[in-house]
Amino acid sequence: MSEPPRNRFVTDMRWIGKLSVCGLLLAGLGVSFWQSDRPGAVDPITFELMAPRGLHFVSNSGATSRKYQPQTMLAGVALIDYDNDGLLDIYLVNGAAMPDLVKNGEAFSNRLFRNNGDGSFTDVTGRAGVKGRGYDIGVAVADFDNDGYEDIFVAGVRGNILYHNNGDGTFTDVTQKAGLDHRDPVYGRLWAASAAWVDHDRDGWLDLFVSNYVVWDPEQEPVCERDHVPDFCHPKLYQGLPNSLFHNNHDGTFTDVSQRSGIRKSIGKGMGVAVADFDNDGWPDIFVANDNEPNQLFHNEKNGTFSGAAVENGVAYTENGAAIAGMGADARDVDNDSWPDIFETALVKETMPLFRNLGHGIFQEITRESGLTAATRNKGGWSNGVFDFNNDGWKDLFVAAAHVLDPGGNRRASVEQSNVVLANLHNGGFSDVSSHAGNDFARPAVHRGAAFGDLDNDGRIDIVVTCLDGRPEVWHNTSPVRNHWLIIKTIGSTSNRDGIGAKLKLTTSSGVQFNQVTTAVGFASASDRRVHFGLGKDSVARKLQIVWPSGTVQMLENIRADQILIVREKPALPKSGRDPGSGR
Amino acid sequence: MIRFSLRARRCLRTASALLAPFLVCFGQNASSESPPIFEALKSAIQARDVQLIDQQRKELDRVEPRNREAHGKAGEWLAEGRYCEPAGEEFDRALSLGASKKQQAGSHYLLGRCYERASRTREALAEYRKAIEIGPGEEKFHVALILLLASQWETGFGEDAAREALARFPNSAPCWVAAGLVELRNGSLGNAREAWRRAKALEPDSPLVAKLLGRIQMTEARYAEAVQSFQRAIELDRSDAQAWFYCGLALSKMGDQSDRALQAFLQAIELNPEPAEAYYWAGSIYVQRKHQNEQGIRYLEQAVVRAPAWGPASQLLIQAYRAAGHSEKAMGATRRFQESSERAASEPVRH
Repeated sequence: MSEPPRNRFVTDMRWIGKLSVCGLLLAGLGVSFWQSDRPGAVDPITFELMAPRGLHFVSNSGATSRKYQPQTMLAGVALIDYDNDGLLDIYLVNGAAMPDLVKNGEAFSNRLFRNNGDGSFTDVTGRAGVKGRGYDIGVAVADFDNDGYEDIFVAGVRGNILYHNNGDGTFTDVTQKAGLDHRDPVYGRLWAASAAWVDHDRDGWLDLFVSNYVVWDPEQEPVCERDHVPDFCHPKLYQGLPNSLFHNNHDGTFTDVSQRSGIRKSIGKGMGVAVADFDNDGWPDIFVANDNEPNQLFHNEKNGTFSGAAVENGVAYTENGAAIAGMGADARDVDNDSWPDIFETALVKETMPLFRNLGHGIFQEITRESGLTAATRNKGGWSNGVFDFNNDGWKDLFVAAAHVLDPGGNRRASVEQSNVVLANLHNGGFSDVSSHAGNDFARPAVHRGAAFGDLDNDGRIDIVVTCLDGRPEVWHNTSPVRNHWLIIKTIGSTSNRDGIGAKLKLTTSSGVQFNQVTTAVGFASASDRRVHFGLGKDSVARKLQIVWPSGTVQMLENIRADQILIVREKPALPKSGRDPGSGR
Repeated sequence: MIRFSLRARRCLRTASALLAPFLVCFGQNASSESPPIFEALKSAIQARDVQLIDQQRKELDRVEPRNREAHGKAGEWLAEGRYCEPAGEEFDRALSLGASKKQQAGSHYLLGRCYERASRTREALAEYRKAIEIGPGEEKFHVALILLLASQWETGFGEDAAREALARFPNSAPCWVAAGLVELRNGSLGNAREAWRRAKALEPDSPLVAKLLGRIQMTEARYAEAVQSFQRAIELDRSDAQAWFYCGLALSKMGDQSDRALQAFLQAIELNPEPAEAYYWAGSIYVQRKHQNEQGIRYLEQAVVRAPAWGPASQLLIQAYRAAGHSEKAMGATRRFQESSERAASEPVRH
């Protein structure tokens, strides 16, 4: 194992300029060492496709012979412990009748499935009251009112919904009351695709960022064909939209601060959202994958405003000079150097970029050097995630794959695709291990959303993947090497209760790893907010440092592996004050 | 050796459009017999000296107030230099002094080219459409419109324009090529191949046809075959800058052909130093493949000069500046890009 990287939480501003330059130079030098040819050297990653009892769901795009654009976007999935029983439940988003955009029957209902803890699920949609209203696409999960229960935000084509978790197994639609029944002054109803809960002003309350896709009206839907057969139109034919930011007023209501914050200044075709403190200045930044428009990187200016920083920080375009069909995004540290990197999905032939954070939010694309060009060239990617699937201490990559075109159209042969899993080779490279990921893994389908989390609390990250007009896939992680692991559930006090935005640094005898608390992962989906670390052969973590959004730094030492650790935020202590084991 | 100055075109045929541009020719052999004021205006345009251009135009107006050819030619040179508004004024002046329909249509076409090169797509489309309205029998007007629509993903309008052009010119290989490029943009490879077959039957030895095949093969990720097609186009016309450019692109996609790709881009620049794209790709190879940042910066700066609001060029230039330790230049480039982007507002950028 390499030397532990430097502590990212100690930022000496005088270093910034030098580090940026050094990072770039080193990145250039390092390229020749990458692209490992030893995929067999990493621990295997395997999944088993489950058909859990009780998980009865078929997504319904309202497919018609007319190819309405939303019909190809369906849909997101969330892993949410809505009843606080320690088990991840599944919330699946669904479409509506076209072109009315109304859920006129049970077939279009969003569904919440309670995890029974024995591998089976129970449909609790009716009791919970979360079946949705219109044509829904995405979902974001967090405890927005700090009451200890996870709430659900649903992003839709003609309107969004905020479901408040009442704590008794039911939810209340508080969209109107919360001020989120939103109509843009210029564009009217905004087609929302994904969303992220983020405490952008660090006031201890989660705000809501929503990525909006395109101006769309069923009456104005263009007609497009592929070789004389109707198919979905290219996104270039639709006008883009600004994203939205809603500030949490601490009283169950939100204020639209899109204009004031500068978010509204930039037009895109927003898809996946990833949130991280890319420059380690203590404030969360926001990355948006845009469909055939340059990606957006909103840098938090620490005063309630954001500035566009995608071009200067190297993530607007790929190394091919292209604004790709960006779909999903996840921002995590893939090379254990302390800086969150960005993995983005795109369509067939575009390749899926991996932007390496060289330090302080300056990125260099390493798609080719990391082996992703070859691995992703022939795949279309939707939702994605950066997680350590084999618990070896290095985060791997997963892509829910499919083409965007009509599964019944002229290109149907290439529309259904098998998912992709790429193992981290510990040297900057990744190896496509999909063909060794289990007998079921080659199953082609029209994959869309994906959410990541440990469904059975065995320390291995499972995945739920949605399929367009199909049943969801539950991929149970069966990776055979029993490496150690640690899952941390953060509970904020001064910070937001979920601890979203907290930055975690884990030190073992093998090295140091970094991660952050977020539920915004991939495309239109929400993942387990608990933070997962693979520990490899290390049965003990020497140190766990948590930097909470409030600025409080909390240190735990000598933590036993293979447990789910709940860490509660302590009030800020003097700098020298350490409280080993606190919160355990 | 590549010269970075914006010098006069050695040959208009090597301009960035896929097809050779239409020459309006308001004056007869104007360059050899032109009066000093005309030469002075040309020099000012070549020097990109806006104040001097303005002065020389005033002088032209004073010396040759009723000379239709002089004002028309001034419009051509200004349009070629991407001074579209002054060009339009000179054309208006020339046309007000009496002009043929061909000259009217031609002036709109040249203005269209001017706007297209300035990434002002809406104006370019309007000018091409006016050119077709006045001179529907000119094949090149149709082709220019179709290609621009295709480049902007306006494939529906592109198909309409292609249909209209092919109804008028069913035996025009350029029209079939343009129609094929629309189909390619539309993702209809079968239709694109059919258009290529029709064009090939009409002009088997046309570089245009070879380039269309290369573009189709590029879309299919058959890069080695695409290289062969572009090489065929180059054999047919070694001065075809676009064929060199696409050959470079196909080579760069092959991964292990960076040096050959770079040579192709440099050749494209030598033949036509105007388009930003070849500079960008040459710079990209220097920075991303060869890790020669200073070399790459030279080319990327030229790309940004030519297309200030084109994001990829600015992104890579800023990265290269940082990698080379030019932090202040990186900040300056960031600021300039933000300013250009704001100016360009929502206007789509051609690339």
